[in-house]
Amino acid sequence: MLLQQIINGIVVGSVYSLTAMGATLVYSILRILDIANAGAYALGAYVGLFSYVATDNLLLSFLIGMIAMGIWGIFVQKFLYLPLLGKSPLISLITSIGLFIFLGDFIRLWAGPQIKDFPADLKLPFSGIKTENLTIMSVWILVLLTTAILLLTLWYLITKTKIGLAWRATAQDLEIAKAMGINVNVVVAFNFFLGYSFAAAAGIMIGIMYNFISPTMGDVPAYKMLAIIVLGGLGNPVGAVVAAMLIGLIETLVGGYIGFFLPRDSIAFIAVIIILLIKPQGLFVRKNI
Amino acid sequence: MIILKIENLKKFFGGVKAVNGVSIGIEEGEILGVIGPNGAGKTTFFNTICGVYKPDEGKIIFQGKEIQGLTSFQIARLGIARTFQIVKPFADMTVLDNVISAIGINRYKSIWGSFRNSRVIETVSKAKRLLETVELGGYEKEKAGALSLGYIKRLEIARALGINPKIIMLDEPCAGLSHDAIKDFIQLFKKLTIEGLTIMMVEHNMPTAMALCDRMIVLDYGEKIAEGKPKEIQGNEKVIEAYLGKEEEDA
Amino acid sequence: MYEVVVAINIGIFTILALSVNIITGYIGQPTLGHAAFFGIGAYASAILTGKYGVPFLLSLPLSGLIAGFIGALLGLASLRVRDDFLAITTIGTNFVVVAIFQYVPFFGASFGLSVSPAFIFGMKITYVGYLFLTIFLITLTVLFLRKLEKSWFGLAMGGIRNNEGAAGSIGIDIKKFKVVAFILGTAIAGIAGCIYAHYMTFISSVDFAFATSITILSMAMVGGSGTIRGPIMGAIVLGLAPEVFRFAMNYRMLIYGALLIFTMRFQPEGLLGERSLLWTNINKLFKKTYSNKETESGIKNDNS
Repeated sequence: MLLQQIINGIVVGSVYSLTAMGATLVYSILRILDIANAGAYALGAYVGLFSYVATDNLLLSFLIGMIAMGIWGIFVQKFLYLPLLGKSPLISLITSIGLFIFLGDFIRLWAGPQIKDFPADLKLPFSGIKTENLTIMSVWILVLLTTAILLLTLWYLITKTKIGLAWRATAQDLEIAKAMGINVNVVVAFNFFLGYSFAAAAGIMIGIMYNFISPTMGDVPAYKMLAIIVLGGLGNPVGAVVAAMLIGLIETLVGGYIGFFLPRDSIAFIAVIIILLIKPQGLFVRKNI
Repeated sequence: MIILKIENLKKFFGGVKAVNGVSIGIEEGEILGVIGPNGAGKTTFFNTICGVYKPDEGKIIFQGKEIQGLTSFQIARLGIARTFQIVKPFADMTVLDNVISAIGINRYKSIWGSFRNSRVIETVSKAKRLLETVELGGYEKEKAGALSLGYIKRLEIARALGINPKIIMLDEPCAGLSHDAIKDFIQLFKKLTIEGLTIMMVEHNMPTAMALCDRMIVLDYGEKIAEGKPKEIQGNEKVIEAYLGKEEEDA
Repeated sequence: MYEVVVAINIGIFTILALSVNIITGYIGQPTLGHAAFFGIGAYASAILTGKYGVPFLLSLPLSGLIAGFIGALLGLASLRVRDDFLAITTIGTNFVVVAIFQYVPFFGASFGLSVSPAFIFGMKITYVGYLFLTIFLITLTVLFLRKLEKSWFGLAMGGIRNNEGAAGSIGIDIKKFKVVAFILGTAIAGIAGCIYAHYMTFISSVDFAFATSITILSMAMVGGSGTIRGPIMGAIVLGLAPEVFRFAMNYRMLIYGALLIFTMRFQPEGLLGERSLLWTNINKLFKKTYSNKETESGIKNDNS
């Protein structure tokens, strides 16, 4: 029973880490709490679904959804966030919330308000595990694998490539990076492309896992991912993954195993508040990864 | 008479001994310069006196009272004013309000008292007078953030004077200013000491410090390596070594 | 009648936007959970009047006090947890408070609470009565804020908003002023909550959720943070938007979102902010008659 809850927690945590990664990347460079990232998460899921219906190819629809949202991300940073850089963080936050509201309603008007199935007929090359007191569904394995592959790709991009080096310098200090001759515009665009395509991947993943998508599916991730990136030390990708796992585990263990009179979401936030009161800079103080 | 006495002051950051056992007494009405090469611990020395950092060891005695360990607002209320190396104006407030806010130093002691009107004639005219002193007369209604660096430095001095200080600590007041502006400042500081104010200043530029200070101390690696009149410092071998050594490292 | 209902709603949100502005606009602390204190005031009054028979007129200030007391705790937290970390803490506070309303039977849990009607001097308050009460409280709040802006307290808040290090160097006790600013902002929100509860006669946790906090903050920011005119304007614009765009019912949220985006993008200081298009033009228009008086009226002879 405990083992089962821990596995559940890890699955939830890896979904969270994928969801929070987009906003973490955005924060790492521009220091913006990007609620609109959850809009890309929902919109990405729809693009993914429609691509899947059209092409019947899951991998291809993942790619289409990610690239479409990545381009959307470049658009958003260029026309909304960059011009607001250096102003009060609340201004970009309200902009971001406006964009999130706008996108949610756009999806509702475009695809209809009702919940949609994600009819992915998953022919996975592996099957789930089911014993007397332990269940690991095959789709969970898919979630864990996808998360691992995407995070490893991200790690490779950031630590082993030239643009990754520029990214790290920019994340450290945008002004100094500029002075060092790094083309900051390209780095920020790259960053948003990554951040928003991650959001799309997370949206599609959730759609498959729970077999439904809806225009409001971004509502909960919108604030929960903020809690995760803050707990992870604001913009530290490794910290975000650890924080996501931690929140996933706390939610399932406290909610499911121990039992608590408040719902899951508030357990996560109570944990965040307690941790922040003890460690006001989050679990991982922000530094270059 | 000694107004501020510092005894064996120490401030460490981890293993770094930013200020390591500095002692000095400041005479009322003098201009004391604190000089030293980059990274000598001058600003940390200032910040520790002003209560930004708590000293690890040592005493700070102001007018016969030990004040080490007090926070910055408490130290300000005793009459120790300061300006900042990296300017910190209240950018979105008017120049006039920047100075008025400092004049209220004793009004902030009680919450009830602080609800009183701050724009009364005496405070406004006092603020205007201080702005005249630093030659910012025509800029009252400008937003402080819109001023040029030199004017912001003047504003910071007016703001510091607003608390009616007995001693004012200036952290590189002349850095980044033009020759003419520096000349203005030198005159201003001399005038202020004639009026009875004591000045303690960090100055990086040797010629300016020489022209201005009655006495100076030299810090290097957090320690006081020399103390005396500008003339005495000029010929001090340790000082020359500290400055030259640094330059060699830099090159 | 319908106009009165809309007007009361806008009025209540005007008070809320003005109160959040004390925390975000004046002293510059991010707070994204203001609806929690709106809710605390509402539930406090519902319980005080309903379960303990406290008269409405007494319950009105009491609900402010209770909200302010819990606001003080958040203020204390703000001394330790800062900036974006504080923003998240306030979101968290909002979620936890709403969850408590929703799951604890004492607060009616998921059924919500019905609220007993309010009487003043034995007379039941009508809708028009609530409208007058709301306008009265807006007036009080505005008068208080005008005094606050000109006071030493206002300057202290401005100093802290701009630079805490410099504020400390002129003798401002940052901790004390922050906590008191949180108390003031949350207490006023609590009073707004009390009116809301009795006027609605029924409250449930969703009324005070995170989305409401966003609405309140958006109103202050869209109108012009750090001013008195701004939050009032913001509450009217965003409060009327759903009514004005009634003909485009289906696109209301789309328009609302676009309104937020465009205002923040092109008038980041808000519609009536210091350097906004509208405010500069209004100032120009009145300059001839206004500019001469301004210097005089700002300064009063007051030997206190």
